[in-house]
Amino acid sequence: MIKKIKENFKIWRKLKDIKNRKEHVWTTLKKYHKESGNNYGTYEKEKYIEICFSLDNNNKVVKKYIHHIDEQNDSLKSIVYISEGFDSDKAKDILILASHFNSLMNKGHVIVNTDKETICMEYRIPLLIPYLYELEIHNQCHDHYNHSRDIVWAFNRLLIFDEDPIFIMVDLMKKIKERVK
Amino acid sequence: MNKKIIDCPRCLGKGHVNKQDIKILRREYFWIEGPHCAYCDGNKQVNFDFANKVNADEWFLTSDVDQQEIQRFLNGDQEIINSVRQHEDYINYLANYLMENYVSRGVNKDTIIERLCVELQSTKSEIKPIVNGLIEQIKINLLDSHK
Repeated sequence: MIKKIKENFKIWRKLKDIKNRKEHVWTTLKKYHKESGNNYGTYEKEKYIEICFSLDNNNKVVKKYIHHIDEQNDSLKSIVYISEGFDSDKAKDILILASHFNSLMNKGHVIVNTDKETICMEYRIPLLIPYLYELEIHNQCHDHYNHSRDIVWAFNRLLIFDEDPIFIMVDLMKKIKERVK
Repeated sequence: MNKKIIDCPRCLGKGHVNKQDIKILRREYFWIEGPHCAYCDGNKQVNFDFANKVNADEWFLTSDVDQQEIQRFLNGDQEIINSVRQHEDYINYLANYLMENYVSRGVNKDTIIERLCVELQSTKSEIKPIVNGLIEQIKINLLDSHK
């Protein structure tokens, strides 16, 4: 009971100082990555952290992740770059696969830029949430990474193995079902 | 001269090289699995002296290389040894470039070929078949679990 009151008091105090949420979340985000022990790059001016993770057992597929304080949109964004220059002939299939994901995902979305030929997957939450509940930073980074594994797997099958988006989705569903069993 | 016979250190006495052997010897960019081991000539065993002289991971020693060239290489012909080592560095460079750009960054093949042509001051017709071959090898040897 006392613990709950203390927590609520802490939140109330934070709400009084809501103007500083950007700085506070940015400091907490840096602290979280420092404590994680991973190698990462910090961009103070732009307020983002760049980190690379391997996504396969052989440690051969490495993707770039960005955790960003978006001051304009007042949000904490986690982005993974799936493709930084896809083959324009595959644009139709890429859009189909992205729309499958976007209709199925309850968190985050896949963004396809056909002009720049890029694909990325983004998680976004209002800054107020990680400002009030610091654990949300860990949750967002962790969930985004786990989720990205399936999405990168699916897009690699399209981009590298030239498979049909429908079959990729069917196989992904099977994969997830087996994992949940 | 030691006449001792040992199990082939490349195929581990199977007479053929599989994906696991390729992985152990870290030759994913150079070989694909096949029915015949070029190191023991499919005999499953080799002379100890030969194994002592030639490394099991010697990439040049494969079934599709001309026998005369292999013999020159085994005899220590400096010209061919230099050319083999240069080619090894070249393939490693290209494969690492592909792993970073094609696999990890998801850049399309044509863009990569264009960039490599500029970087290596080479022609498209020269680079394209090597890149295509390497991509196939990477897919078979390294990305099969990703499929």
